Amino acid sequence: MKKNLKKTLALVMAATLVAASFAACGSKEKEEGGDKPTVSKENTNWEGAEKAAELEGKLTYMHSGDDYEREMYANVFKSYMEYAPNVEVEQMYVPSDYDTKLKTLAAAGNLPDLFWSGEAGIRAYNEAGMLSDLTGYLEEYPQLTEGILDGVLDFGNFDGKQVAFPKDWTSYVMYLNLDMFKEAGVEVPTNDWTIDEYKDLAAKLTKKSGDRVDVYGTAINNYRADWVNWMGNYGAEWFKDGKSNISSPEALQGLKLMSDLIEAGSAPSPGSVSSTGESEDRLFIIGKVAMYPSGRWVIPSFRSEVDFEWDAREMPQGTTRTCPFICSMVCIADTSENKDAAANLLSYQMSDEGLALVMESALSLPAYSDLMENENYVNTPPSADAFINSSKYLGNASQLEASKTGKWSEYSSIITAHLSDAFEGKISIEEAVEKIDEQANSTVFN
Amino acid sequence: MKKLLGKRTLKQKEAITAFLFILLPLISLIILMYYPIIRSFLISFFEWDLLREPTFTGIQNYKTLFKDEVFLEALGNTVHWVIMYVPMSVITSFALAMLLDRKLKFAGFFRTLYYLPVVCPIVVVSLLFVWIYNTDYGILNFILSKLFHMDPIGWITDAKYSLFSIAIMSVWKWAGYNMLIFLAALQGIDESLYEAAALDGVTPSQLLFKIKIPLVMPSIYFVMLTAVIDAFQMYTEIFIMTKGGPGYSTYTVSYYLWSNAFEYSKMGYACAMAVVMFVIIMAVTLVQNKIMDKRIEV
Repeated sequence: MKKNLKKTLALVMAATLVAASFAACGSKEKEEGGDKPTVSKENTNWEGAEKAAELEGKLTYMHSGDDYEREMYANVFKSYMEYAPNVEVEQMYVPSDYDTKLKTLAAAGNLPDLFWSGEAGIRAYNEAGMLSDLTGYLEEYPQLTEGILDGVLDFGNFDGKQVAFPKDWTSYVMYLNLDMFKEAGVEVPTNDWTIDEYKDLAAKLTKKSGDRVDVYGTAINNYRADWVNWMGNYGAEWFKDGKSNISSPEALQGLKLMSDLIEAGSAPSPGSVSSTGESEDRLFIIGKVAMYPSGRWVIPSFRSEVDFEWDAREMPQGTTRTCPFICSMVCIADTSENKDAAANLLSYQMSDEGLALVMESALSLPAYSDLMENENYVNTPPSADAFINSSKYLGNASQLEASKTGKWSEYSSIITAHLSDAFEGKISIEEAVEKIDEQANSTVFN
Repeated sequence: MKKLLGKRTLKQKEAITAFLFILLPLISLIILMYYPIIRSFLISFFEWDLLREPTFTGIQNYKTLFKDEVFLEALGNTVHWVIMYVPMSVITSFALAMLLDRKLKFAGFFRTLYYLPVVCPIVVVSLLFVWIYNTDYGILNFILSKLFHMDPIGWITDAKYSLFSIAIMSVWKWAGYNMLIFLAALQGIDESLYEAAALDGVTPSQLLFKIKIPLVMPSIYFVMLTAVIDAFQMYTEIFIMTKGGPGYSTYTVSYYLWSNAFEYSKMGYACAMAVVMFVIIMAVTLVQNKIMDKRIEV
C-alpha cells in the first residue's frame, strides 16, 4: 500500500467537514445521473474512488461489536457515501447473539450484502454456497492485498477461493500494572522475557493477607487465545491431521503452565472469577491483578478506566512464539444484488482512509505491515512494540486447521469443559487433555 | 357477521359465536405450538445445519444421543434438579402460605414482600445470587466464616454444590408465585371445618394433615405438575450463572439442546433431544396425573 499518512488524515478531516457542511445545508447538488461525490477522487489515494462515484443502489452491512464499533463503522459508511453518493449503506448493528441472528437470516435466504463472521464460522457458509468469491475483486482492487500480513488471508481461503477478507486482527499481549512492579521493587520485564521469568514474577507480585489473596500476580482465561498462545509457545501441534492432539507433550506443557499458576495461587481460577460476575480484565482495571494477558480490544476501557501506570509486553516466550489469530472476516453474500458496490465498500473500509476511522479507537490492528509501523494506526498507550513484534509470528498452523474444520465451536466447548474441571482442581491437567482428545476425536472428529 | 348469523336458531348462533371466539387462539396455538412440535419431530430425523438442505439420516440422531456422554450427564443433572428442586419449591411455598394464612397485622405487606422476587427479572436475580455465592467476596461465605469459622465454599464453582445452590436461588425466586396459589386454596377452606375440628380437639398436626392438606390437594397437584414441567426445562439460570460449568456439572438437557442448535449448528440433533425431553415430560406428567388423581379421589 502506498500510504501517505498526513494526506490521509487530512482527507478524513476534509471528508468529515464536507459531510458536516452538507448536512447543515440540508441539500445535495443533484445532477443528471444522480448525486455527485462530495469528495473528489483527485484528493484520495483510495483506488476505488472513481468507481464509487458511478455506483448506485442500496447495501446492507451487518456487524457485531460494542458501541464504539457501531459508531466507528457508522463513520466509515458516512464517509464512504461521500465518494459514492448514489449508494445507500444501511448499517445493521447487532450488539449480542450475533451468530444466531446471522444464521437465522441465512436460513431465511435473507443474508445482508456484507457481513462479518468469525474465522471459524466461514466454512459452513462457504459450503452452503452463500459466499461470493472475492478473488476477482482482489485483482480489481490490488491495494486490498498489498502489504497484507502473512497468513491472514488463509483463514478466508477455501480451495483456492478467497471467500472472506480479514478486516483487521488483534494481537495477544501481556498488560502490566507498572505501579505494582514499582511497589514490589520488581523490575519490569522486557519483550524478550521467558515463561519461567513470567511464573517467577507472578509469584512475586501476588499479595496475600493470611490465606486470602488480595492481589494476584496474573490471571488466565479459559479461552481459545490463551490456549493457542501457551500451547503455541511450546511449538505444540495441538490439532493435527484432522484430529485433536491436545495431549501431545508440548500442548500439555503449555496448558500445564496455566494450571500451575492457579495451583501456586498466582492466578485466580477462571471459575472463581466468573462466579463474581466479573471478568479477568475488570480485575486488572480495579488493581486486583498485576499482569493480564489479553487482546487489543481491552485498550479503550483500560484508557478510560485505569488509574495507574500500565503498559504492554509481548507474551513471554517458551521454546518458540506464536500469536493466535483473532479476527472477524468480512464476507459478501452470494445472493447480494449489488456485489460490485459491496466490493467497493469493502475496498474503502480497508483503505488507509477507512482504516484510519477504525484504528483510532485501538480496538484492533490493521492487517497491513506498513500500517503496523505507523503510530497513527497503532497508537499509544500502551507501547506499540509488543503489537508490532507479534505481527511477525502471527498465526498458528493448528489453529488454522482446527478452525477450518467448521466444528471449532463444538470442539472449543469440549476443551472449555475439561480445562474448567482441571482449573477448578477437580481433575489433573493430564487427565483433562486425555479426556479432551478422547471425547473430541470420538464425537466431533470421528 | 350478520350474514353468517342471519337465519339461524339461537343455539346455532351461540355455537358460531363461540367458535369464532376460540378461532384466533386456536390458530395461534396451531401455528406457534403444534406446528413447531410436529416440525421438530420431523427435523429430528435429519442432519441440518440451518444453512444447507437437510439430509435424511433416519434414527441416527437418536442412536448418537443415547451414546452421547454429555447428553446422558445433562439428563442425569436434569433429573437430579427435578428431584431436588420440586419438593423444595412446593414445601417452601406451602410453608409460606401457611404462615400468611392467619389473621396477621400487615398481612398484605408480607404477601407483597414474598411475591416481590417473582416480579424481578430472572437475569437480575441470577446476577444477584452470583454475588451472594461468590467464593471470596460473597456475603454467604462471609456470614458462614464469621459465625461458624467455615472455610469459603465455592457455591457455584464447586461441582458438589453448584446445582444445589442454583436450586436455592430458584426456590427463592418462585416461592412467592406458588405461595399465592396455596394461600388462595387455604383461604377457600370453609371456616366451619376449623370450628368443628376445634370442638373435636384436634392437634395442629392433625389439622394440617387431616384437614388442610387434603382440602388443598388439587392446588398441590397443580403446583407440582407445573413445577415438574418447568424444572425439566430449566435453562436461563444455568446460562447466566454457570454456562453449564464447572465442567459439565450444571449442564441440563435444555442448555445442551440450545448449545447444539445454535452454537454447533446441529439442529437435527437438538430436535432429537427435544423429542426425548417431550416424551420424558409427558410420561412423568401422566404418572403424576395417575398418582395425584388417586390421592384427590381418596
